Amino acid sequence: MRHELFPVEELAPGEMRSVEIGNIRVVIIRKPDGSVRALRDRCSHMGAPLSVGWLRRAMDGDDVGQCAYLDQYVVRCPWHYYEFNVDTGLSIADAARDRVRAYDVTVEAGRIVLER
Amino acid sequence: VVNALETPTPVKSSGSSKETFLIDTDVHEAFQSTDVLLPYLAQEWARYLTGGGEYSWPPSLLGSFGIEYAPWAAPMGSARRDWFLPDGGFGWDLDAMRRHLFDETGVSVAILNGSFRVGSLPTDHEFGAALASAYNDWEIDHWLDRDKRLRGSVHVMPHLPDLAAREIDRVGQHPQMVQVFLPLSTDRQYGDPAYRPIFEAASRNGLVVALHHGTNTGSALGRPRLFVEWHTTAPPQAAASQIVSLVCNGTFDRYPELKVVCLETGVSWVPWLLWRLDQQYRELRTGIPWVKRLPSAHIRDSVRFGTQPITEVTAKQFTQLVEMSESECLWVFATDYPHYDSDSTSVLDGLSPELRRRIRYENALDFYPRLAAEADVLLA
Repeated sequence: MRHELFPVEELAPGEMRSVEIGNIRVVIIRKPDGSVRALRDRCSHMGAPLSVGWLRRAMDGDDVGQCAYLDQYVVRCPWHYYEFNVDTGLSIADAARDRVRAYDVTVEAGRIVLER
Repeated sequence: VVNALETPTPVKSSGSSKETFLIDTDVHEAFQSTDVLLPYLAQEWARYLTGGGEYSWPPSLLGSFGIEYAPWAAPMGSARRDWFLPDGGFGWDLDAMRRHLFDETGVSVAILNGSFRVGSLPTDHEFGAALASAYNDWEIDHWLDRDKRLRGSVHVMPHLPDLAAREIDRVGQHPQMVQVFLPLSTDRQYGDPAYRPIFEAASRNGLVVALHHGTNTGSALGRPRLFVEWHTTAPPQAAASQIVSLVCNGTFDRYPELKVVCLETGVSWVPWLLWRLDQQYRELRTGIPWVKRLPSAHIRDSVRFGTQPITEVTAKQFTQLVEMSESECLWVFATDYPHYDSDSTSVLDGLSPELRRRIRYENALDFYPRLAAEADVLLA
């Protein structure tokens, strides 16, 4: 089902907003490059709203003590700091166990449109 | 001294078959005196053993180089009464070991871990490295070459990782060497990159790294007042800390072929470690982004635990531990011969036949690369 949400310019790059669609909450994520993503706004761990967490670049490292940001973005849960890939909803640490649903989302005529 | 690359003679222990085969991963051979090392030591180091009044390094400190507890202050711990030797010692007589282990206990292959914990020597590290090399040569001459059912450990001085790596390369290709012995605790935790040469050398030689406590091993709170406190807490606490260190510092990511076995550290804490470390990783992964897999996945692939002392749990409870650990592969059988708290094979009674077989030998054959390479011969 198609859900027309709000004008994309209302959400600055790097920001997140929670919206209610039917009986669930979805976090709309505007990545720094301006693109838009959408995840279920409920951490698969203990149900915290991801929308009040952090949008961050994923951290990588090849050797102990070496850290480097990737171009990939994650939303970090506000409670236990679980990280979910904003593109897929998969947990970075344990994708086999922890994931949140990712929704198809587009921008049409300046408005964010979500398919659910 | 080292007869490297010689194909080991097939083991034909009495009655060994897939039904009765038994690998003992924790056997402590010993010597009566450090004098046995003299033929293998350069004179410059031998002078410390021979003394003659000029030097006073105490040959009585045969064992652990730690602070001894009064009730069990014998240099190398204490033994099961029926395994004491006529001179009051234990572990130094190969014929007695053959009788006790191979004939009476039914062991098919025994992995020697020593009683001379020279890697725990807290000072004079170069001297310790020379003692370790001498011990390895003596171990080969006096034990491995005299009984093909024995497998050996390369003893090293962990404070000198590059020298340790050279020693691993020097004797590690002996056909009966299967592992490198490290004290369960040393100056720094083993995930420290300073120790990489040791793990790299073990991996390239196809050797497991064994971690085993000595009385220099501290508990999480240091050194308890009483032996009972220390023996309860220090081995599992130190083992858990070392495994956490190796995982979190990326040692298993860097050396995926590395295998580590924790000996005499008990069994009941293992599920806790798997759960606790996974939980921390899920929450705090960004602090260790060089770790690419769940810690429990690393541990299931790269770490094993000797079963002794398994008697802290019943067979039913052990089966539950296996289920909680989600792996039948984590444990390998160990007696801890000849010590007082050794396990007999009766501790495996009550386990399913499949699990019993895994612990008796299958897990060890799968895990120790050198044993895996000769598995067909061993089981023939």
